Amino acid sequence: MTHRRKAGGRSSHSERLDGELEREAFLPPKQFLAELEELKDEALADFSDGKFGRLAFGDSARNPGNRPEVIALLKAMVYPERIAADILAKRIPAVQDLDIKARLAEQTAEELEHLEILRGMLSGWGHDPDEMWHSPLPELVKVFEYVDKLETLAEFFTANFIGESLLLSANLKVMRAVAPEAFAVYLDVSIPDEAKHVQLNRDAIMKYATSADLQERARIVARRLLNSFVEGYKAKVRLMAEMSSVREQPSADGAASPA
Amino acid sequence: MAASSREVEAFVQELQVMKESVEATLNNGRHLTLVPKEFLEDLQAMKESTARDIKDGKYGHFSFGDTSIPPELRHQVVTMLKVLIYPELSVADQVARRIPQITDLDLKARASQQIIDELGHARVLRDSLSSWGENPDEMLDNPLPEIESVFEYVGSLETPVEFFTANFMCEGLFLPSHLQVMADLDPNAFRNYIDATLADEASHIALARDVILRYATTPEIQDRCRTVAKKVTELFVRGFQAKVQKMIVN
Repeated sequence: MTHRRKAGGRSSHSERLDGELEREAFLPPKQFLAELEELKDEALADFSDGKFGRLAFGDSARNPGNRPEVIALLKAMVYPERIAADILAKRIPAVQDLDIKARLAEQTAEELEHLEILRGMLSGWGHDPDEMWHSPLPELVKVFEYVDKLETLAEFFTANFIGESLLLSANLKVMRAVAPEAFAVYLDVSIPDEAKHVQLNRDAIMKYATSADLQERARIVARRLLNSFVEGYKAKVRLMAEMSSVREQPSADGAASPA
Repeated sequence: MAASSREVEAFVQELQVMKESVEATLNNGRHLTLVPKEFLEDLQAMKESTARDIKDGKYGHFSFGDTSIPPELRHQVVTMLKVLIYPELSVADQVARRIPQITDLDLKARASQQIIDELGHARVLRDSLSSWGENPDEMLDNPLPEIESVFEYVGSLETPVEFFTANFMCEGLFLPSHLQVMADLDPNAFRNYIDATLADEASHIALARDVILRYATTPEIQDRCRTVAKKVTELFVRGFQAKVQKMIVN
């Protein structure tokens, strides 16, 4: 994945240590956040260009419950919603600021609410809602294992900022634009919530990324997470395509086999 | 000839002894698995007995000073609010740590709501104290050791069902021994806090009860939970006494 750098951007803040190691100087929190926003926006441009594939949800004339792409995506999303709640909850005791702590608790509850909606939709259509909780996409597992292990709050909230921002713009908003009829129940709740979560991460980054060292660690996390997110996204696109092709396989009598 | 009531009573007692003997043999001397509902009734009885002792003044009484004086000028009220911040925040953190252990999604969601509630209670306490010009974090940084012991113990419990058994006892005791007393003795001083907490505490007790009903399903688990209930009740009483003492000393 390419990271475009504006000339005279971050490098103007660099300083040389021991004549060899180049390290970023401390940036005012707003400026540091702007740098992360830029990084994320560059990635989003790549998503918009279709560089990592495109989410497609089959024939919109058909019932969403019978569209393998829709079902595959919903099933794939069960794991992230559920594991995110666990990871967020575990982090709550580490947060001292009562406002951030309370918003993190709300986010935990909201992720579980999203999970309930996803499971309800899948069950309602006669599908096993926990299939991919038990067998998640390995690329998604890697993302969450990584986030769970991050040491500092600056790193943790940076990872969440990147992950949730990309989820909102590269997944949820695309689902809304391409197949609103299939996902409305889930998106009506999750899109406003995710926007709130992104804002929480912004505020937390400004609060906790308060030294050159923490900002440098957060930068590393941001880049790593962008790459992991892309891998997770590509895995979802692949899964949906596979499910779709299974659905389209003609059976022995020439008819398309049921999903 | 009809048996006398004394004879019937003796016969029933004899049957009861025989039943217990057979049960003990069948269970190798261990406790029987009670239906979770019956087990819960055991815990409830234990809790009610302690609540009665507290109410009867066995461990001291809360008093909040002269209610004609504004609450912010009464050290008993200020001390009480300061003391309560640590438990509210500690419960929030401890429930948060348990979330990943809870597999049932309904219980998980209700636990996540409890975290929000407890943090909301802490906020109400902090706002009251701050608006009175008091340091809200004074006893968060230096909690009463007896209260700290309660949370150290509860935090060390291995399984969610033991943890929620402890919560069931503590939250169930907190309601009559603290909230009810605050509401009875000085509703004006504690109105904000009571308004914020009363309904929530009932739902937290219900959550703890449902976890117990769901998971305390074997004799081993019930034994562990009984031990927890006894120990945490003891610690709760010590915490109560420490609060009473602190309010007198101040």
